[in-house]
Amino acid sequence: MNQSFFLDRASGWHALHPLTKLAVAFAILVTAFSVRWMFISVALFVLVIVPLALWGKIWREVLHTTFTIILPLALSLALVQGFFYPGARDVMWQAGPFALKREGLEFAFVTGTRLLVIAGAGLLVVYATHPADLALALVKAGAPFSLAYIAVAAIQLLPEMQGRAQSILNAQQARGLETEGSVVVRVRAFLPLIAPLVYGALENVQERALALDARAFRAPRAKTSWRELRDTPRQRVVRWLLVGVAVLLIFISLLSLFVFH
Amino acid sequence: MDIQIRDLTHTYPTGVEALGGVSLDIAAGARVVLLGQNGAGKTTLVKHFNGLLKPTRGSVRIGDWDTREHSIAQLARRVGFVFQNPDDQLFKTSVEDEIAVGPTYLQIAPDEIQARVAYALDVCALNAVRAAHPYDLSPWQRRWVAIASVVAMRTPIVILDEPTTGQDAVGLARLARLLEEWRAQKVTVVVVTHDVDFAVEHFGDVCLMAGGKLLARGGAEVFAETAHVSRAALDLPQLMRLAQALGLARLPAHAEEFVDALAHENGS
Amino acid sequence: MPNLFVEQLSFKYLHATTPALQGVTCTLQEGAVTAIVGANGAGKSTLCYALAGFIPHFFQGAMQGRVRVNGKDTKETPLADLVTQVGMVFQNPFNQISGAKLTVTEEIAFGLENLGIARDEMQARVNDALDLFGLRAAASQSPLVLSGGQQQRLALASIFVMQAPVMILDEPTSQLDPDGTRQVMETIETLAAQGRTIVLVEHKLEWIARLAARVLVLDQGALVADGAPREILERANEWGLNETRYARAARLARERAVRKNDARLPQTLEQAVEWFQH
Repeated sequence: MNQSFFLDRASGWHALHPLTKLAVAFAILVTAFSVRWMFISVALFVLVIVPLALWGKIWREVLHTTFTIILPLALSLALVQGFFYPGARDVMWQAGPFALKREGLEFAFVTGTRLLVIAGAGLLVVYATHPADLALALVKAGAPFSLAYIAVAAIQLLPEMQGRAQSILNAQQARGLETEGSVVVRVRAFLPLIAPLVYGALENVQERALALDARAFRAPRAKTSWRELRDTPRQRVVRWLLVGVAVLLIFISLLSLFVFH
Repeated sequence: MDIQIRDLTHTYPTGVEALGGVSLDIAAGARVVLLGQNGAGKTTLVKHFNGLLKPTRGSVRIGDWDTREHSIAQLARRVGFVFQNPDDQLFKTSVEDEIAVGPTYLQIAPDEIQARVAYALDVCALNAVRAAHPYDLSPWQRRWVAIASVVAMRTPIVILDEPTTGQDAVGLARLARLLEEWRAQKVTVVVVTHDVDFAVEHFGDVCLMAGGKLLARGGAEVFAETAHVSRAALDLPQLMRLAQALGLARLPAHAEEFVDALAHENGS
Repeated sequence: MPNLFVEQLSFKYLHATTPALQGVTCTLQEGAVTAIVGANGAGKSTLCYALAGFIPHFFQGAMQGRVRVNGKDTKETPLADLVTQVGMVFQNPFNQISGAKLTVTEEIAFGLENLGIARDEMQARVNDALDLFGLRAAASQSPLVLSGGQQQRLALASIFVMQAPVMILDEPTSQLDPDGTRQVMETIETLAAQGRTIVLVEHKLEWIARLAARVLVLDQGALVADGAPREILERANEWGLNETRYARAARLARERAVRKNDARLPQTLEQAVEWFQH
């Protein structure tokens, strides 16, 4: 059972400091959104994300997840935008009242490939970074400890929440609640599930909070860490460069928006 | 109403085979306990009775119904189920409303529902908290609310999954009395537990389970078979251990039997 | 050496109509297992929370009286300081898993990280704990895949490494099967043999008789008895406790004149064998 997204492999990409990986992802995202070239996202995906995924030995998972999530989205996007993009005039194909317009398809392509980049960049970080390391890095960078903890714990405990939702559904079904049939029936069946899920979550939260307090979670002292984060001066330089370039790109694209339109 | 299980196998989507060919007949009005460690397959087995799980192979019949041909909601008319975690079902703002939920789903007439709720409150000693919010109660009280909501459904078959967890002496005594009520009403009762002492004291029909299989079925004598008991990784009930240590011939199920066996040994 | 005093402690939860504890006074015995027993609702968990400082720092309500840990009044000492004096393990094994750690080893270290213990000290303590609590084989597994008994041993280990002089265990086996119960109880036995001060809340009186040096009985929020296990447990029925079958059988045997033993009723197998062979 996969308790988190982290895939423990020995690779150079894995060994990088979490903030470095985050900086790379950030730079990729900014580039995808600020460069005005239709194929920038595809280029980034093929020329940056895939090589990094190969380096990180996580290319199979990254490709598989990206395509299983993004492809259906992109296809439906293509259909919707293709047919209904407002103000489009260049018709590429027609069947009765339905006209497939070029501008719409272009828009769908750009958006779809951007989603691809978002998913790819995100997975590059998440698959190759131990959640505790990520939390630690965020804390070192100034994020509040409790926030970092919550982010990590939420991911780990998600399967339990899903399991509970199923148990709660079963509990009502076992009392005679009909859950199959018309939409009305299904919606009405949904209502009794909310309260136990919320209450159960709250009750659990109280017990968890107690247990955390017993482990000195809220102690106002400087915390140490079992794991060691390795950082190098070179990575620090690279991070600043990446962030600098990204900020520059944002600036330029904003400028072009205001100056050239 | 009886339960017939034939060659039941169940494999979870993860690939784990939780039940490996179990066959069992439970007569109408019988009172059976399924005994075994966690992971023995007891809960997996009973979840087939109300259709929460469907057989991978084999069949389960509740009376004249094959469970594969009926929805969970339909089977709920015949099988009442008290879950291990009572919190999973509680969603009403008062105990009496919560107890009324089952009968309401089953479309029982309103005044009949009222009568059933009153009876359930009584039998489960919840009258003092009838208007309380279930989540304001302690965990052991919430367990009784869950039991009460099944009592009110008046199904011919009742399943209780680990009802002894966290119960004190008063709670266990109340549970024993409820089992007697059901026996008088000829309700078929199946209890899942790992509490060997409770099981042997209140049930003459014990099914030992381990590793997804039924190891043995019978009265107190199932414990005489040490091979089965160790496979089930269970302790002998306290009095049986004592009887063995004292070299008594019989395996007593409760204190009275034990003292009888002693008296017999003494010849006094 | 730890000193734990409770003086006239009363507590009523914020929205409750009746007090959960009324005028409880006791002193905890050092280096021994003190058991707290009582029917459901008697106030056992509440007393535990008060000993650990969660009352008043976590739970809201009206508190009267005093709890003193090593001379410090729990009302006036911050919780972060109290947890280094009193550690607590709760009923639900799953809810004690932090969720922030991917392995058993790191999970045990979690409390030490929060206390700011240096890494080599952490490693030493965690290593010892892995062996003491039988978790060496599971060291690199995720805490979420362990059995209930293993998770409770993990909870015990995680609190143990924080080296609080007192450990409070609130019904640690109530959600476990017999195997899990035995694992946890045997671990407690080991800790007791090492001279740790332990407070154990339990319904399973047979284990209390085996492990505890002293038994406190709570009934509707009041401390109604305090004494040696065999002496107290004889009166189990008075307070709605789950009498051991050994005691029940012995009492019945005495009533029906099948045995004439005047000694205290037996509570464990060994005591019973001795009693019936008398």
